[in-house]
Amino acid sequence: MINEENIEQLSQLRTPLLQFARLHLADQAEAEDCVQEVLLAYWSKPAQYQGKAALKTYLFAILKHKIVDSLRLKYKNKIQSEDGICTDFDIWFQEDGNWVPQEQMYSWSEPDADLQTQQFFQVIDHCIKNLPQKTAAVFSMKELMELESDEICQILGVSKDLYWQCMSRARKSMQTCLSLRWFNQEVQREVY
Amino acid sequence: VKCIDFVFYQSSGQLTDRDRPLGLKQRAMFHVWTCRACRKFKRNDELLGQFVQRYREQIKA
Repeated sequence: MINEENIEQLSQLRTPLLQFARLHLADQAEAEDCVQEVLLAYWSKPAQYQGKAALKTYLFAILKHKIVDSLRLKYKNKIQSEDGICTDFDIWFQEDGNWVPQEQMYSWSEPDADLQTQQFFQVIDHCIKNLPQKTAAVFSMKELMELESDEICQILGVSKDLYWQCMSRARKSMQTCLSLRWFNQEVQREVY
Repeated sequence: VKCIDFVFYQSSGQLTDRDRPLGLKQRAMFHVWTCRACRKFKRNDELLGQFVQRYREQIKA
């Protein structure tokens, strides 16, 4: 049975659920619909939650399925090869395939000190939300929902080659974004 | 393996994919031993993985 305590708990959980959904679904309304469906699913059949895991974990598991369904509907067989080809980063390299010296990365510091700050997580959040939409779908399924690459390819209807291109593009974008928005404040670029 | 290839293999996750050929992983490993810029990219990419993991955990915490 749903009681007063549950209502309060669900109300508190709505925000992190929505935050998580927004990382995968660019459209705010779509993310809200997804979270709404999760809460309604629990609300309509509370007995299905047997208390084996924390309620939050249980709701996140349902949300993960809802997001996967949304991404499947939205992108299945719609991620074409040209979306994944990583031309943006060609400027990093010379014609012979070696680095352009001024494009080499900053050295990042160890994570512990940085991760103590909420600001750092806000920068990560910003970087994820600024990934190209289809690339972000692949990245978030792999890195945030922890799905296997074969599963992602099957859900989105993409080849393994295209999956790798999307992941590469996403991780290079993330590295560029974090270098620009966080680490370049602290570290001088090294000269080779 | 050139730098552009190594960066692609590393950032796409192929170097930790069990299904990728051992020869490709070996060639990538030899390249990174001799290329300082790619070592730096690799280290940042590995740190990125740790950052994203911590980020994921704090959302679900």
